[in-house]
Amino acid sequence: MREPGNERSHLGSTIRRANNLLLALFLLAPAAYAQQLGGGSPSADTPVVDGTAVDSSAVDSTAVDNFVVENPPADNAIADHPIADSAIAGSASVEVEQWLGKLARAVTELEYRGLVTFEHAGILETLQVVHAVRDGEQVERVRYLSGDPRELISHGSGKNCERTSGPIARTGLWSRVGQQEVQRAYQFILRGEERIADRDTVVIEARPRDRHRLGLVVNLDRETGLPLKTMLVGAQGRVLERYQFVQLDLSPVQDSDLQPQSADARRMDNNNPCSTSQSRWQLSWVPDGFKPVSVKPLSDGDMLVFSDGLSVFTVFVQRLGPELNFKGRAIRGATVAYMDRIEVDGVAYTVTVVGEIPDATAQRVASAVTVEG
Amino acid sequence: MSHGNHQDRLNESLSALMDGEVSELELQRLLKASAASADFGARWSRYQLAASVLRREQVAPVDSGLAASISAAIEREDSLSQSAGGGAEAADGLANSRWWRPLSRGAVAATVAFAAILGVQQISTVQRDVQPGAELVAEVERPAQPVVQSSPQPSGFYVPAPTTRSVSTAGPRFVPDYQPGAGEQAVIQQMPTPELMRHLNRVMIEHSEQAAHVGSQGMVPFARATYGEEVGM
Repeated sequence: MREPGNERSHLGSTIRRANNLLLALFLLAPAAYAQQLGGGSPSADTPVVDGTAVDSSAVDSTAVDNFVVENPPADNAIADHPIADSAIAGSASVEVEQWLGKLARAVTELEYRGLVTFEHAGILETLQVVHAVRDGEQVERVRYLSGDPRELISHGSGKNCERTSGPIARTGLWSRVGQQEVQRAYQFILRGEERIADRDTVVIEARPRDRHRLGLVVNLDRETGLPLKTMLVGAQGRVLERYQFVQLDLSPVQDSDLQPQSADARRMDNNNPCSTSQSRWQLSWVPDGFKPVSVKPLSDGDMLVFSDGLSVFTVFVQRLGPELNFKGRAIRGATVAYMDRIEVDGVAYTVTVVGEIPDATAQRVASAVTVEG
Repeated sequence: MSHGNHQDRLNESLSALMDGEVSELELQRLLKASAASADFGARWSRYQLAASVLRREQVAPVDSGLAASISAAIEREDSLSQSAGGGAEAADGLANSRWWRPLSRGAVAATVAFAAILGVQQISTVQRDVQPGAELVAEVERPAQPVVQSSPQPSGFYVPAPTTRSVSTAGPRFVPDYQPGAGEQAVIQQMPTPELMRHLNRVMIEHSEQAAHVGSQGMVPFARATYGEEVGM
């Protein structure tokens, strides 16, 4: 188990140094492959490499074993990888927890501005993002720089939704308890370092422990903990979506930067983002670890939001009429929308499960919608 | 001579596989070739490595058991498509008529390149003969991220990836390859209705806006929430 970790980080850094020379790539690749054959145990699977990775959608025990077997990188790793160096199991998990805590604070408290690339399914879009804190509340502006002009300004998303799981005040990555919960659903692995947007980042992989969630690879800014690159990874290690900074400015955001730049920018106010209305709809099954975070009435139905602390899916049950009697799924990047139909007392309702979750999970959730009592 | 042609064709198929554009027939040929020749497996690994490096991903050891894992995946796909019915039993009330048109495995390979509506069928469409046990689509690989193109098209759900291979079928209507004689069910995907597109956009936006308050995803959900927005919506 230790050898491949070394090879990997060594290889990674070698290639990073060379990667502006295309020629070097193709010379390196066969050599690297030879290295793998020599030193690697195939069980050190790699979810990030398209196509070659062990298929994590295989829900059989071997796939699960692979998750368990995977240890943090070796303690005798080469010297220019301090993160990997210190990764003896215990201290590594403490370190991961520290990084996750840093991440949770950074995304809510930091002021920043930057240019971002957002890719999914072969489409590359570029955006401008601004994040500021005003009167203790977050103000966010997102503006697409490619394609149709689209812009969103969001106010007041200071409050984060709590999962209704007893005494835990703020779940997710904010609290230790929340983190431990998240760690029951994902295994976190420190993957080394990478330079993003001219900044040093630490790579953390969240590997799902079952087939009901996607994997996440996130690069945290070493200085601030801000995620500078986020990849959602599906079965077979396929990257479904990538969000990556090209340029980051951490100086305080001016008010003028929060003003819309297009006339038809959409505004979003979140005074009560996590409503907990009652709904007549229930789910007879959700994947382990997912708990309700919000139940919101819509003009034509209800929406129920669930999260495992990292991934989120939303169940819509609506009366939409016969022109929306569809069954099947639509996919955009990492987001799947699975449509189904439920009939109650002779009335047909459209069920749509939307989320960054595997298709089969969305389908199963959709079929688990029932009416109260 | 013929050996050279064969090799060329294999290499071409291999590139297609890299693009997620390989037909079932090609896939079988590739699997056979890679079982027979270590050289071929090594070539695949190099392609993968190079692609990973180009994408600046962390490069990790390459699993050389490519053929084995693909074969296993295909078998799994079969068993999934049969067993997946269990998850949908609650829908049986409306399901003895089958809404799903099965996606043949060949079609599955072809779908990979499209970020689109996959398999959404209007419930009122006329039912056709369906192979028993195949009414549910196995978890098909979603369109992954290998080919990055700047997109001048209006954003939406229905954006065919502009690869050379899809050009011939690159209209907004998605009609996967149908190979006569392959014995597979043809896949008919209808043009999504404007109502469906609006609905999908709406739920994706509402979901993303909620997701922004949950988890520590930074501004990613906002990027998603804004993506499908239509001007003046």
